[in-house]
Order: sequence, then C-alpha cells, then structure tokens
Amino acid sequence: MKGLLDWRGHEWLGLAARLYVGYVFVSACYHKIMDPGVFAVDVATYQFLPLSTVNVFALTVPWMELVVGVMLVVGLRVRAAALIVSGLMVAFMIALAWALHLGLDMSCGCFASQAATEEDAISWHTMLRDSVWLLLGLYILVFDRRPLGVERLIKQRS
Amino acid sequence: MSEVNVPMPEDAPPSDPKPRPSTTWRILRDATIVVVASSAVGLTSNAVRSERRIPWIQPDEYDILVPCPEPVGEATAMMPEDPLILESTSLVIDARTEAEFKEWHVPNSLNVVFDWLGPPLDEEVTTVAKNAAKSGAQRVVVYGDGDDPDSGREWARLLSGARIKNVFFVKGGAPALQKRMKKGGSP
Repeated sequence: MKGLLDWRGHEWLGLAARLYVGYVFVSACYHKIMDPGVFAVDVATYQFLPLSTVNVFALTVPWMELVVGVMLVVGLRVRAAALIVSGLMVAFMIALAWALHLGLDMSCGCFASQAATEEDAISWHTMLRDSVWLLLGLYILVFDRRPLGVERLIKQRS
Repeated sequence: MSEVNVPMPEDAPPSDPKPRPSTTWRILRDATIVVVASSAVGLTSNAVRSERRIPWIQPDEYDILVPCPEPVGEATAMMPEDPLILESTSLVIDARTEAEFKEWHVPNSLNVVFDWLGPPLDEEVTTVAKNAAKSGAQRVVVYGDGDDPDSGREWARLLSGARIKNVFFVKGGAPALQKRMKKGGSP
C-alpha cells in the first residue's frame, strides 16, 4: 500500500484531477453567487432541506465551491479542499437521490438556475456524473500527498 | 480512510522538538477553517450587497412549481350507448362541476369534480374506492364534460393510476350520454 501511495505519478494524475474538479466547482458557483435568491429557490425545489436552512445553504455553499475550486487549481491545502469537495458531493448526491425518489421533474440547477434552463434534467446519469466527481475528490484526498502547486513551490523556496 | 493517517516525510521533521499534529487532524482543521471562512464571506457579501440580498431565514414558503408525475394509468373508452353504464354493477362517476351535475346527471351517479389545476386529493380517490367497494361494483364508469381534453377521461386515468381496476370513461362525456338518453336509447 505504501508503494502505491508513494508512486510519483499521483502528482500528475492528481494535478489533472484537481484542475478538472476545480474548474467544475468554480464554474458551478458563478450563477449561485451572482443571484443567491434564484439559487435558494433551486435548493427549495429539491424539497430536502427545512425552509429555515435553505437561504443559509444558498448563501454559503457557492462560496465554499469557489474557495475549494481555487484551492484545488492553485494547489493550496489540496487535501483539505478535496475533503470538502467529497463532503459536498455526498450531500449533493443525497439531495439528488431524494429528488429522484420523489420523482421530481426538474433540472439539476448545478450549472445554471432551473428557471434559466430546462436542460440538465436530473436523472441517474446526474448521479453517475456526481459519483465520478466524488471519486476524483477522494482520489485527490488519499493519493495526492505531494501536490504540485503554489504551496509546494513556497515550501521548496523556503 | 486509514490512509489519511499515514504521516508524510515532510510532515514530521525529526529535528522539530514540538510534536506536530497528525495529517488527518491538519486536514480536518484546514477544512473546518475553509468552511467557516467561506461561509462567513458568503453571509457577509449578502449583507453588504445592495441588490439581490436575501434574508438568512426565509419567512414564507418558496413558490416552487415542479410538476410531480401523477400516477396515471390507462382507462378504457366506453361508448355512450353501452348498456353496462346503467347496470347495477357499475359505479358511475360524474366528473363535471356541481352546477352541471345538478342540471343533469345519470341516475345514481356520484359527483366527484375533476380539478384541472391540481391532482386529485387522496381522500377523493379513497371516496371513489370506498364507494366502489361498498356498492359491490365491478367497474367504475366516469363521464365528464366531453371536451378535448375530457375531464371524464382524465379522472378515469387518475383513478386507474391509483390502482382502481376496471375504470372506464364514456366517450363524448355527458353531452353524448344526454343525447342518447333523450333519444330513448340505452342507457
């Protein structure tokens, strides 16, 4: 197991995974930060969270997405960012499974508000897509132990 | 996730006199800081923005319009002259409005108004199911306004979707039935 963890290729695979997941998270947060009210309606549409927590969720989660996305891309506290990514993906997948269980005919609201697009309807394909992102997050968390990026650069110089 | 606990060479330099926190602890600590800090930024940015600000706690329910798929089944069409409609083994349902029902209806029919704006209430479906069971009916025959779409057909499909068996709708609805009855035909 130690040999697997120490494999140098993880640096590069991890970098590719980080750039991809980071890009996904940064691009997903834009519309949510610009219009939190619309995102709050999207969250409420899932009928998963109690009403009293919907707005706080809608105000905080997009900023988490932005911060962890940037952290992954630049290589700063990568494993902590990957832990948050994995936690968020698990939360999103639970909400998604709930909506699918209820049979709600709605779009995901992940990259554009539900009011703006009728595409990206939730389905088990959405769940599969989220599973891939969860696996990538876990991969980064477990295997990307010497991440290429800003933090490593600073450590090398000091 | 025991792999997370494996200390890395750069994590614990041997010359460091103070014991350094474990990798897992540091990851959790950093993640907590990021979550708290980004949440604070999110809440603060909402507080200072001049437009599109939302309250932390939503006072009223959001107006969400998500079409939930209604359990729609298949209902068989029945011609207005079909003698089965008036048989005692049929539970006849009039899906039209109360006013229309008062004006004319098939004898012994039950008025359960079909609401175009919302799915039938469970109690309405239960009422139909109870009446069907009580009367010993072998079939449920629904007639509506006969328009396109026909309220009778829609009701029949919803009842069928609610697992009520042998549901029929009268083709042409009340106007067709009325016409047949005025002519003296069956029913």
